[in-house]
Amino acid sequence: MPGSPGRPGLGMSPEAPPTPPAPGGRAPAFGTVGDPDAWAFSITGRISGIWQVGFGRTPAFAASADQPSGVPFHSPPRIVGRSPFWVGPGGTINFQYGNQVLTAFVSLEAGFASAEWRGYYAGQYGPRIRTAYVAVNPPPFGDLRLRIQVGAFPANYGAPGPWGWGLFGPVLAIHGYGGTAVANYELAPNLNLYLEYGLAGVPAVDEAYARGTFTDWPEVGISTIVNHAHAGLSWKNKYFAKLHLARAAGRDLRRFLDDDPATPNVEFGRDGRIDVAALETRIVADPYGQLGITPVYWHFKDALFVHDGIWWGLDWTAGGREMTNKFLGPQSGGNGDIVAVSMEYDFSLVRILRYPQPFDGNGQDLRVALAFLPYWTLKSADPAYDNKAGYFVGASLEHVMLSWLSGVYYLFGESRAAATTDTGAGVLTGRWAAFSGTIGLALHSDWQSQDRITIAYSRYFYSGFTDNNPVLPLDRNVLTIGGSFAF
Amino acid sequence: MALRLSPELLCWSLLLALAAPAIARAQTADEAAEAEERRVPRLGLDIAEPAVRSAPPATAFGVATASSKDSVLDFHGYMLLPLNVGLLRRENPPPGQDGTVFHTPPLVPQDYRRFQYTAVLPAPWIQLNLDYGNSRIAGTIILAATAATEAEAFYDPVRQLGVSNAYVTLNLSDKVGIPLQVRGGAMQLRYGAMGAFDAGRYATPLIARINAIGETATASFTRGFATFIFEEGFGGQIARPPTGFPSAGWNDFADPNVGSSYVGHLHGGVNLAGRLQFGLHYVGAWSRDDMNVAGVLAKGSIDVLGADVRLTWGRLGHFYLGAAHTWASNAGVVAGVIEILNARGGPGLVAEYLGPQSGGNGGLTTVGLQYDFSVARAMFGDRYRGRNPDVLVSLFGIGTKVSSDDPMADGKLKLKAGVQATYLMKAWFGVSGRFDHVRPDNDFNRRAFTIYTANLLFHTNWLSRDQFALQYSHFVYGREVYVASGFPAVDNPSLTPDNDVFSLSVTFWW
Repeated sequence: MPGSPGRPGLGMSPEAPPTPPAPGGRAPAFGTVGDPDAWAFSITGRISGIWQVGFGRTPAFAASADQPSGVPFHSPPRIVGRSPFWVGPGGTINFQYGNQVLTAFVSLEAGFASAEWRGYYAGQYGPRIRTAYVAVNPPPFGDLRLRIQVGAFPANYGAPGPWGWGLFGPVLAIHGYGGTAVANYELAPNLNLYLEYGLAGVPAVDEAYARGTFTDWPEVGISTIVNHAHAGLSWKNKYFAKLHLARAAGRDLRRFLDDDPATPNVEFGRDGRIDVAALETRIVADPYGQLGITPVYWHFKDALFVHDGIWWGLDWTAGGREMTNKFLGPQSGGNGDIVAVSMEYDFSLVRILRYPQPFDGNGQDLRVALAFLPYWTLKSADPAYDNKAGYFVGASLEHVMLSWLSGVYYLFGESRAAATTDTGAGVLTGRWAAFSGTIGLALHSDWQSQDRITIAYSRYFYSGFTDNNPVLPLDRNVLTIGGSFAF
Repeated sequence: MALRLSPELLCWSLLLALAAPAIARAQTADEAAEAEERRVPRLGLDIAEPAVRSAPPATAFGVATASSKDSVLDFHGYMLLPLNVGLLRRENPPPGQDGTVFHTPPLVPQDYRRFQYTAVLPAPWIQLNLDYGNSRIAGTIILAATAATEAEAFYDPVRQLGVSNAYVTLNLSDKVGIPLQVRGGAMQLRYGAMGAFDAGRYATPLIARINAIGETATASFTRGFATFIFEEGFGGQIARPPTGFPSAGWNDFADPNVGSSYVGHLHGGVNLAGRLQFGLHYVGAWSRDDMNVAGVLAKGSIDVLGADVRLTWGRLGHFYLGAAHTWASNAGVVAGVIEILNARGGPGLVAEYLGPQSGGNGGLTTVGLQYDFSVARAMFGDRYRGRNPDVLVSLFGIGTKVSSDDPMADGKLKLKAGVQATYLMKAWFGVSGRFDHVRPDNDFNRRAFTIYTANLLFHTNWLSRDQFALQYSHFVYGREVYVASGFPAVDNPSLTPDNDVFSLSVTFWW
């Protein structure tokens, strides 16, 4: 429930899956304090099987060429923009062994890779060990508590939601081999100081590595090191202010094997970096829910030469590549500045209405999450993107009618003032926009259970620039059926 | 009336069976003692011992775990996760480039499959052992990976090993009256383990590693202070690259020239008073397959005969000395059912030792030793239980002499040796230093290199199962030390290897 205490620390728990919350904003409290007993083994995880079909339109050439016409069905649907459903991995099993001082964590993940589900074997969805780390929580030194974590894990910061991913995710997400060290010091009663430093490295991949769909990895693989530091204060566990700083630096000779100026085609490489500064502020105002506001600033310098140590910003980054393509412009060379403000408000309507009577979530309710994320490209070397803006908007409502039934409603939108698309006949630049509305029903085993069986219908709306290819029109109507279970 | 066979007859007739983890069935003190008497000794590493490609802490994997007569789930694991960063100075950085280069992974000559490998740099390894069973029978699945995709940022199917071992262990000790276990399934067996509990500082089995689906049987009997141990096994790989199969990164560069390959192995040993153990090992791998491009019957073999001695004696520490000779005949057609000094099958043996003109014919004579010594245990004997400061010293080395039909490889002597000292000064802190020298070709000093390594070690307690390490390694190279690049990687003389490597790693086992 909004207002409940979360995991101590400056970022999300790495155990939290990179997925939107369940309908209505429910999120399992991954990483919160567990059983204080001695050595214990536990298995947690998440299982999901979600199927989507998009109902398309007859391509333009079919009608003109007297070809068969009608409504084509697409799985996966041919849609763009944010989706309320994460079709992602089929299952994640988390193995955890340890005690309150020392914990080992390994997650095993697999998608629906086999031909039974796709008609072919999709290697990139095959089973893999995804996350593995060891965490140490030494006994407190007076008012000082420490946590050290080393291994291979994600570290996410600046998500304005109460727990987990939220509607639009964190503004800074880091992964790689490395570690973090967190200090939590009680400056005064109800006033806590958080300090954190982290180091992560993403290994290079040789240029000769055969890129293929089975790798799920198309970008350049330059050795990238991420240094990140964080400082924060919390007051009464209700008011939070956290500063997040990070730098991802890509420097690697292996990509540039020849230092001979006579071969500039080989010698084009530069050292790149991405700098991030974010100020995360959150207020937990029971019974009115939680409001989070995170302004963030990105500075990109030759960011195309940075691997994805920072893997999420406004969107999936693929290092510097996707932030460049979507927000700086493909002609920018990965140079420019972006600012954004990520906001999310989560509340329970019944909790507000019943106040001062308590409401623990076990009853009829309307759970709401609202998010808005405007951004501005302050500077870009691509004139078409320089000084342009855009935004993301989202809303998630769950009307909990019965202990086993909810109505779910979503609105998602994404608009970018500058975008580029290659139609084959030429490169076009214009406003990119995609919006969707979703209505559905969710079955669950109890008021606050983490299991869902969902059926939903989504209607998508696109700008003419977004849906600009009459030969391959985007789907406007999408049906979603599936289930998920976290344990 | 139970059938009782003489131990000797039984041992010789056991060469058909399967093996189970050492699952103690003890419920009472008497039963525990009885179970200990019937514990099956081992001549090689336990399958559950992590196949980590680095020198791991000494870990007692494979010891008795489950003690229930009812079936239970048992869970063990191991993880080593490092961040390794190699540093290199650009001599004349052009505009837009800094003077310092980061290499992750470091650009150093440390290929696991080659003799140059020292295991001094930690490499990722994650392993989960899931056992289900009881004191009589158990099934084991081992999940493993050499990378965590969260950190690699892409999916490399070759590094996600999936189910790396799956086998059933049947403990027949109660039935036959002597320790006897039989295993069937897919198992990776390692012989010539130089460490007390692991494959040694070089993470390299000295005699052979076997990757086969089949069976093994282990039995022993005791006469006085001597315990005689016998082990056998037979198996093979379940497939070979089909004719016309492409060699590519996603299939770990399948070699279309190798055929269906099989392996049989016999081992015998005697353990004296639990302190001194002698072992004799024979491993024979072969291929006879006509499913190749030429459509002709291609016959090849790799045979290994080895002997080793292991002394484990309190104050004197742990000492291992082993020797092996490998015969290769048209070995290029033998697949990775056998690994010699980590070289995979015949193609690996040809590439690293025998030479491309050898036709896969030749041999290796290998000697290795490791000595591990605890100063505190030497001073205080069994009164020292590892819960006070200590200095640990290890000496280790491997040498192999090549005989080959390839004149460029024939007569080559490859040597590597090192020493490591570790001072555990606090329950939570220790320091360690290691020196390694590698001579891939003893006739050429310019191909040799030296590694100096220093570590800061942090752990949660004496004898804890965790370790956080900050490591610095300095490499000093001869003029002709090359590192590999490309995919598949080959030596690239145009590359300058890294001189300095920093590492942050964590190790945890349970």
